[in-house]
Amino acid sequence: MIIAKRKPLEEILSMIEPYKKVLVAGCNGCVAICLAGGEKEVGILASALRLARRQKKQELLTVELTIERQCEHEFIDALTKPVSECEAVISMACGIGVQALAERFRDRWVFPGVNTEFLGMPVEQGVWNEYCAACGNCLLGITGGICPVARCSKSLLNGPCGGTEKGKCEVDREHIECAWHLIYERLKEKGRLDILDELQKPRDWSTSRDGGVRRIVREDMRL
Amino acid sequence: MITPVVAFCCENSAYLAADACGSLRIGLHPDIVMVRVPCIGSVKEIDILRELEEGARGVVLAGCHKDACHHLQGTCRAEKRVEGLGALLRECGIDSGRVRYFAVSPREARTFAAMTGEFAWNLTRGNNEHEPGE
Repeated sequence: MIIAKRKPLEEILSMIEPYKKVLVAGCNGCVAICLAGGEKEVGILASALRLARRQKKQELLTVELTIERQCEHEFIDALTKPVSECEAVISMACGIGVQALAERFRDRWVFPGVNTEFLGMPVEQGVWNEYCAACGNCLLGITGGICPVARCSKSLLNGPCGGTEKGKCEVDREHIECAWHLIYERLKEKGRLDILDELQKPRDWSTSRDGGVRRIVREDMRL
Repeated sequence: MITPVVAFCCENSAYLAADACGSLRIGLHPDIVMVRVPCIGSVKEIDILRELEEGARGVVLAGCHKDACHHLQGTCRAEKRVEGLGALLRECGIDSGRVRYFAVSPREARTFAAMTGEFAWNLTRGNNEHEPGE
């Protein structure tokens, strides 16, 4: 899922400085699960913004609403009325949701309340790690289910670099595991170290960001 | 203007300690307003923020000792929340010392009275009365 983190309050305050009434729009999708932009976080942010403004002897009115997902127009319909009653919007969704709202509500400025960080999952309560880089050319089938694109700091595809030490990555020896060490151990566990001896074709990176803005069309699903 | 100090009290520990203050004729700070909760871990960040918005001078969370929480991890959750909220309050430009957590057992009536009293007193020391929501 998409992992996000709330922006510093000072940054959000500076974005909404000219406005007296804002909508804080949450999303019950990924950002709610990673505790960044769900209903609970919307309430906390709105309260914090009111308190911060009061410190400066300024008033701020907030409207709070969390919808199922901000990345689909059918769900965004529910925000139409609240947006019309506010001067600006703080979207607590990922970058997709912010853009969807901005596209839909052209006469309102939509500000991002979170930074969209990466695709990942929780490894323990309160800790999320990056697991996927959305490269469009998944090779998990030959790496035992461990992604070297996302989980190797250098996205190496031919094995570890010289910076690997005791299973850790030189970029951050405390928190980052060497992906290729993990791949080796996983393939060893599965008795398939022979995969590492197979020659692989040079990778086609055009399916990743390197190929430009991506798009998928499913003709069979189009009406 | 006197503004209250809200004390969320776990019904398994702090609330019993506060109750015992009555039996033992131990005075509590007059500005303390107690809110009984089933577990201090049930007090959410928004509950604390709302009290501050409503004009509380400070908010104290009083729960069980770490190894004595009836709901196992309520105490740990409350401590972490107060810590996290402190950082948020500093971002708001508000003194993080206005929210505090401490642990008492049901028998520690004097400790409860002393800690809540000290907390309330420190918030008004030097006649620094906080305006509502400030």
